Order: sequence, then C-alpha cells, then structure tokens
Amino acid sequence: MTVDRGSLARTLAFIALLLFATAPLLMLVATSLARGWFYPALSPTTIDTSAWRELFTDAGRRDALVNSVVLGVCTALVATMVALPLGRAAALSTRAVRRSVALLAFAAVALPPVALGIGLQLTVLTLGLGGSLFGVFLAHLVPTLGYLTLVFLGVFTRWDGRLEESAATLGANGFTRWRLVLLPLLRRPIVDAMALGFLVSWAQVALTLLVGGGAVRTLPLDVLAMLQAGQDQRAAAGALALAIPALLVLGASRVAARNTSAVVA
Amino acid sequence: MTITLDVRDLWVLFAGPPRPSVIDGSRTALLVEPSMEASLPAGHRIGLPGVTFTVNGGECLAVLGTSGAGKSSLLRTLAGLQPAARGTVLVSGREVTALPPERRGIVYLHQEPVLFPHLTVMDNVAFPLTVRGMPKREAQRRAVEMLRRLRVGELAVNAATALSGGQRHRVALARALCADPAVLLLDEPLSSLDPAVRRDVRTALLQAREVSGAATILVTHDLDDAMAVATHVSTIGRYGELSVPTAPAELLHAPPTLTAAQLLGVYAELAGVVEQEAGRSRFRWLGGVIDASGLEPGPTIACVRSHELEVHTAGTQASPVLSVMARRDAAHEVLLDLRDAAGATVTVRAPSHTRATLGDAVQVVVRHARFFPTH
Amino acid sequence: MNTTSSFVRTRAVPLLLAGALLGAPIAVGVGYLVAGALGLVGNTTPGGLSRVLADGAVLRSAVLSLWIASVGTLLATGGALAVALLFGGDRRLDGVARRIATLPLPVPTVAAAIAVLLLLSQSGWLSRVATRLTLVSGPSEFPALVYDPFAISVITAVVWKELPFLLLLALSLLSLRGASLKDAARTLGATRWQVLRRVTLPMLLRGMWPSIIAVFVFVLGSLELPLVLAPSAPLALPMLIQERRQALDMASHGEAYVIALLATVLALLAAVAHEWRRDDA
Repeated sequence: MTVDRGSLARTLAFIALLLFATAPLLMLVATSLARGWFYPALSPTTIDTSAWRELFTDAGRRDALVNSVVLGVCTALVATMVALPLGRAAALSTRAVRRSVALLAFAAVALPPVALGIGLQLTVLTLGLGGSLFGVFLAHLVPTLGYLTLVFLGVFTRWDGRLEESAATLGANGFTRWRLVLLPLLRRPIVDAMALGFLVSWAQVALTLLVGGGAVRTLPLDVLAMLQAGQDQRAAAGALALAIPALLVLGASRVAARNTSAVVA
Repeated sequence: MTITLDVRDLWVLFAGPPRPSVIDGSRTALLVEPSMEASLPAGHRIGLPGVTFTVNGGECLAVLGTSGAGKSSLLRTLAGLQPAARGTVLVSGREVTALPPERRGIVYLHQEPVLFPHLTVMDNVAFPLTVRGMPKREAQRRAVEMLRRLRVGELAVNAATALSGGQRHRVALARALCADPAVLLLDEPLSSLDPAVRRDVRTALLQAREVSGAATILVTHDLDDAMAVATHVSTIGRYGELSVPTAPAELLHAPPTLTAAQLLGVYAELAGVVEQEAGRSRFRWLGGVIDASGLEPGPTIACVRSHELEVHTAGTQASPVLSVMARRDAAHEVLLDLRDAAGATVTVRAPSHTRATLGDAVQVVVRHARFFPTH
Repeated sequence: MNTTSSFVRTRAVPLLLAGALLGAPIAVGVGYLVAGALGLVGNTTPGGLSRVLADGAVLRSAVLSLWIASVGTLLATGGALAVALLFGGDRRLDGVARRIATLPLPVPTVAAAIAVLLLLSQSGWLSRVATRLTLVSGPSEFPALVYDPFAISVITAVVWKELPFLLLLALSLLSLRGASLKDAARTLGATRWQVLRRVTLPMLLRGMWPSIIAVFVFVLGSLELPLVLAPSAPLALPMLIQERRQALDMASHGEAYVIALLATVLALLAAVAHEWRRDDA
C-alpha cells in the first residue's frame, strides 16, 4: 500500500519536474521560431528562422556575440591563471589566511553587481577606460576571480600533499613535480574552472551595462534591448543563443568527467 | 663506494611532551641540552635531541616506539621533508643536511603507499628513472624488470588505483628501488595491514633487500615486524630518547633501559627494592627475593620474561604465598594477576603450560631478571 | 583524507599577491562608492544617509527585494530537498530525474527571466491555456503574475534557476553521509519518518546553509530578474539604485551611492555568515 502510494507520488513528481524544468526552454524555442504568434494561439502558426539567422548576419548582433565570446574567453583564461596559484597558496597556508581569502572571494561574488558596477563605473571613467571593452573585461574579472578562487581553494584543501613528498624523495625537483604530478592531476579542475569562468562572464548584465556605459554591446544586453523593444521573437532567439552554449559547455565537462574518472580516483 | 647513513647530533623538530632534564640509562645515544629549547621558533619543540647513529648499506635498522614519539618526524627530517633544528646527516660521506629532498639520495615511503593516480603501475615505477632523464622506453623496461623481481610483474599495465593492499606496497617498493637510493626510509609500512597481507609485505621487504644495497631505516611499533625484517633495533622513548642500535636478539634479551624493555612488550615489570644485607645485594618484591649482586640499594624494577619465571603450587617453596586474581591466556604466554595477604597486587608473565587458575594459592620463582633502578 | 604536509606549505609572498589581486578591485569599487556617497567624485551632491533611510521608496524597495530573496530561496531549498530525497536512489527514473532537474543550472539568469516572462505574462502561454480552457476570457483577466506586488514570476524564475544548484549540493551531501547516518539511525530504532525528520534533514540543512546564504545574496543583488519581470513600482533594490544613478539630478546620484553602499554592507555581512557557516558544514 505504501509502495503504491509512493510510486504514484514519485511519478507525479517526475512529471511535474519534467514540465517545470523544460517548459521555459521549450517556450523560448517556440517563441524564437514564431512569426506573428498572436493570443490565444497555443502554438506558433508559422515557423520562421529569421531571428536565428539574424544573429550571425546582422552586424550589430554579430558584434554583440563576438564581444561576449571574447570577454568570456579572456576572463576565463586570466581568472584561471590567477585563481589557481592563489587558491593553492591560501589552501596550504594557515587557517586564518585560508578563511580570509575565502571570505574575500565570496564577497567578490556576493557583492550586488549594480553596487560594484556603479563604483567601478567611476573608477573606469577616472582611468579613461569608460565605455571600453577592456574596462568591461576588468569588471568581469571581479566576480569571476571570486568564483574561481573558491573553486581552487576547495581543490587544494582536499589535496594530498604526500604525492609531492613522494615525488620529491624519488628525485623530482619543484619544476618537475609541477610538470609530472601536479598539472596532470589538475587538468580536470582547470578545465572545469575555465568553463565556469566563461559562463560567469557570458551571463553578466549589470556590470557590462554600468561599466560599459552603453557603448559595449554584449549578447545579454542585446537580448534585453530586443525585449524592451517588444521584439519577442528576436529576444527569445537571443536568450537561447545565451543558453545553448552554456548547456553545451556544461555537457562537455560532464563527458570529460566520465572519461577521466577512470584515471583519477 | 660504501653506502652509509651517518646521523650526527641531529635535533628533530616536532610538538612533543615536555622533557625531563635527564633521561634514564647510560646506554642512550643522546645528549640533552634544555637550553636549546629557548632558541627555537615559537610553537616548535625538540623531538629527538642529539640523535647519533650509523646505518650501513645492506643493514636494516628498526626503530621501535609508540605513536607520537617522533619516529615519523625523525624519518621526515632525514628525508628533508622537514627542517632539522640542528645536526648533520651524511650519506656515504657526503653532507646532505642543507640539500632538498630530491638531491639527497634518500627515498621516503609513507605508511600508506602513495602511488601517482594518473600513471599506470609501470609508469609509476619508472618515475624516478624518467625524472633523471632516462628515455621512456628504457625506463619502462627497467621498471617492468623491477616489478618482476618483486613478484608483481603482471601488474605493469594496470591502473595504479586498482591494486590490493599488498600489491600497492610492492609497487611502491619497486618504485623506490628504481631510484637506486643510498638510504630507504620506511614509515610504519606494516602497521595498518591484516596478518595475511602483513606477511606478504614482510616478505616483499626482505626481497627488496636482496635487490638493493641501501641502508634502510624502518619505523614500527610492533616487535615482531622489527624482528622479522631488521638487522639492528633501536627504541625511542616517550620523550624522544633513542637507544643505541643493537642486534635484535641482544636487545630482546638485554634491553638497555626500562623504556626499551617496556617497548618490547615481552617483559613483566616487578616493582620492588634492592636491599643490602651482610655485603650481599638482594631484590625484594611481592613474590619473594632475587639475587641482585652489584646493584645499588633503592627502589628498582625487575623485568622478567615468561620463560624465566615459574609458578608453583603453594607449599613447595620458601617464597610468600600469593593468590591468583585473574588469568589471561595470550598467544605465547599466560598473564596472571597475583595478590598477597596484605592486598598488594602484581601482574606476572608465566609460560603457557602453567596450570594455575583463578583462586589458586601459588608461589613464584624467578630464574633470571634484569634490573632497572628507579631512583 | 587530506594530508597537507609542512613540505608542501607555501610562503607568505603569494598570499600578499592574492590579497592584492582579489581585494584591490573590491576595495577600489567600494572606495569609489564611498567617495561618490560623500560627493567627492562624479559631480554628485552627498547623499544623506538619514535622507535615504527615511525615504519610503527605499524602504519599499528593500522590503520587496527581501521578500523575493526569502521566498525564492525558501522554495528553491524546499524543492531541492524534495527532489534529492525523492529521486536520490539508484533506479533508472532517479538518474533521469536528476539530470532533468539540473538542466536549468547553466542557463544565464537573463535568459531564464525572459523564458518565465513568456510563460507567465498576461499574454503568455499559461494565460493562453487558461483562455482555451475558458477559465478566463482575455489577457487582462489573467492574474498579473508579472509586474505584480507579490513578484510571483520573479520568484518562479528564482526557483527555476537556483533549485538545480541547491539540488546538486543536497545530492552530494546525501551520497557522502546519507546512507551511513540512515543505517545508524534505523538500527537505533527510528522509523523512516523519524530518520528523515531528525537525521537526514538536519544533516542536509547544516551542509546547505552556506549555499542557501549564497543564493539569498545573489537573488537580492540581481538586476536582470527584476529588470525583466518586475520593472514597476515598487522597484527592487538593484533597480532603484540604477534608477537613481541615471536620474538627472545630482542628489539622486548621491543617494544611489549610499543605497549601493548599504547593499554592499549587507553582502559583506552575508559573506561573513557564509564563511562562519562553512565551519559547521
């Protein structure tokens, strides 16, 4: 009796979950392909891919896309290169240092982007970087560095120092230990960190808006502009263009995880 | 070139209990200088002050002691994984105290074998060779050969993470031997193993010694492990005092200090007093009197092994009558808690064939003992 | 499990570098906020703290933002716990359910907000379904889920976006400690319900607290959610800051910096709470 009730509950919950998780995404897909989808039609009357094609053909939209990609890649690379030694240094240090760095990193993440944004807006204007891609890049670095530092802090807190001790007494010097032991074992965390770093920059709205001063166009800002102009189809296509790479990046890192899980315990 | 490890007046840092200014015994290999402590960085204490000994190639020194006595700290200091407070370490005549671990010619093996999880067994074992610049094919060939000599050649292409306990130890040993070390340091290699695997790894250690001419130091808290594998044995006391390395049989039969006797785990301690009567010294304890010529009067502890003691039915001897309060049978001996008429108790070790049981009245005869003054 | 030896420990220099790299931009940003609030830069009149605190609009904004963050986080946590407990097992349905539930995880917040808008607005999909089912007769009769005082659509978007994040954490906590704790409790005589209430849930909540704080703070400070789903009065706090900053008069600029500083202080307090809670977990 309990089993049947449980199964029913689970099945209902599963269906609810399925609907809840997929409905918004399906809605975006439908809207992005719908021309003239008027109330109260439940499904689009005509399928039209113009909004999608425009992402690549329209100069403005293409610029926004390129900016987002460039910002994402650069932020990911720089933040990873900084956060890795930072996280390691903090994790291997005293408890007080570890906690202070974690606090600082989390503050970078928790700070409302609007608040940070208007502060950095003034900074950037004073430095003469107002409205520049570089200024926006620097702004994006703040939350990204925060996230990635927390990630590497976690990685190195769980790190087994005996691996390096063994390597040392077996004859490997510092550089060799990094090359043959540390980096191979860090490959997976580094990939994950870069994926996360990319996504953090990719999704930024407030920082880009405030620090870019309207001069720097990225995909999220573009999408918002479309929405505010009432162009739902284009906005939906843009929103999906934002979501799909994010889903792909996550999927790719999951596949990588399965492949490397056999090697790393 | 002969292989030797010379440790001279080495002071090892770790957080240990406060030490008395004088440690018992005249056959300890240390000099204590309490004033040294004042100059140490805050938070550090000296573990093993002024340790001095030599281990030659082909020899295996077992250091016997309880947990927390600084055995690991000693090994780690020798390996260069932690700094020495003072002293020198020489490997085959060359001073290595200021060198980083990778240049000392000393390989340190952790208690749990630490294999590189991202490399296969073969590449793990070849690691010390590739690190020295050997071409990969040649290194792998030698690695496989070493694995074969330690009887695990068939594991070469396996992932390092998919091995059993005994296999991991053998692979770690093979890897260490490929580094052709002058000194091999083994940190409690047998401690966490169940009996079957322990026998396996003991054999592996002996096989490794056939392959390598290294000077080995093995740290353990188990006497049987030490006896099975070592050529010399030393004991470490609670405060880090190290006894002079001696042959296992000699240490077992004639431990230099009370602490050493306690660590061996085969001695019953009989508390008593040495009295002088008409020019003769005798040791008086609960169970009677033992000849103790040459000893100073005063409180003393006699250490007696099970085969050196006899338990007789009451009425056959001249010694005080004791009653048996408890009997515990162990693997090779019997432990008896005895009580005298006044209520004082003592625990003795008797041979396995002893028949005395709970409630019996007995008399004890001690055939041989070692005495350690406690004054 | 972890062994960090004295050999591997590093020295102080990289740490100073760390502090500089992480702390500097924050300090600079906050510094400029302070300067702006005091009217020292950016051509602003100093925004009076008392004036801001007495401003009814600011208060209403704060209440709205806190409402959204609290309810959203609560529902997301509850949902994550429900999914973790219902589908935490080894059956095939469980694995599929978990993968579906984590789908929204990487989707950028602005995309999530737009999707929810399209679904829940008065001319959105749900409204159309309602019309088809003759529950309502037109878009204006459909309850305003967007631009409404209870910010229902915002909360929906929050739950959609944050549930997967909390779910992953709950699942990993369950797989780490769930089974052994449950076994111990069962052998001590607890019923399944008691195990859930007294052992599993407390364990999960204790481990999730830092992340719950993180979600709360993130939602509180998010601009894109209210921008898309609640752009009318009262404005959520981030939007209020934005509005004051864009206003034409200098007094409003100063106020924007002051409010931003207050929000910053709140975020820093949350960071401390987060770090403090991490020890418990």
